[in-house]
Amino acid sequence: MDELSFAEETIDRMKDLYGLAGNHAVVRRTIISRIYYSAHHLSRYLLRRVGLRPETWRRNVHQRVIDEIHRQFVATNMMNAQMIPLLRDMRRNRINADYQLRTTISEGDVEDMFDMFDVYLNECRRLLEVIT
Amino acid sequence: MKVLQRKALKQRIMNLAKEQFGDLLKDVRFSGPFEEEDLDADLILRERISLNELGAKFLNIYQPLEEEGYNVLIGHKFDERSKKVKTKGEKR
Repeated sequence: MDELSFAEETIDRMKDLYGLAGNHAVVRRTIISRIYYSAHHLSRYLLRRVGLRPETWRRNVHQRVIDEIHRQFVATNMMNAQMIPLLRDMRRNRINADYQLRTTISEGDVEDMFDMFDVYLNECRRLLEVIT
Repeated sequence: MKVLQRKALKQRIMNLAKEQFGDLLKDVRFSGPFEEEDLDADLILRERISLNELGAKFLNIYQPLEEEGYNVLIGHKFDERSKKVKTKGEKR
């Protein structure tokens, strides 16, 4: 399974999980984390398509992936610049879900993550048509 | 990051957020850093706006911060307390 298929499959399963148990805070945290990692893997997929090897990176990988998405696609006008703050926003939500246990994670937070992921996935699909 | 530098960064983020969001901005909550970033910030917004508009405003906040050498992670939350006081069946 490649990263694109993994991301799409994960989101489908997370939507199922949200429907079944989205009223539980731990499940909401898990879903937010998995949505972020789906976007992260999607980014790595794009970077591999242009010859980079993120699997060999060892430090600051999450930041570096976003920085390279900017360098490879936004700075070259191939991707909408708004994808960068969107990726950071998703990462911030994942950090919140993973580390900040006293912060409430609402259903609205989960739904915003699904919305942000959909925007990013659509932009990635559009880009893939150009670079393949 | 030194305490004074952190304080200055918080103020800088607060000012940029106010510039971009004006009355829409209800609060800015700082935390972290948790990973390799300098600081985390969540902007609490009074009303829902489109992701396009949000992204454009966030870009205007990130750009000067990056030029000043800061690595910040900014998220958003829409303040929905006025719409939804309690979620039925909520489990914690």
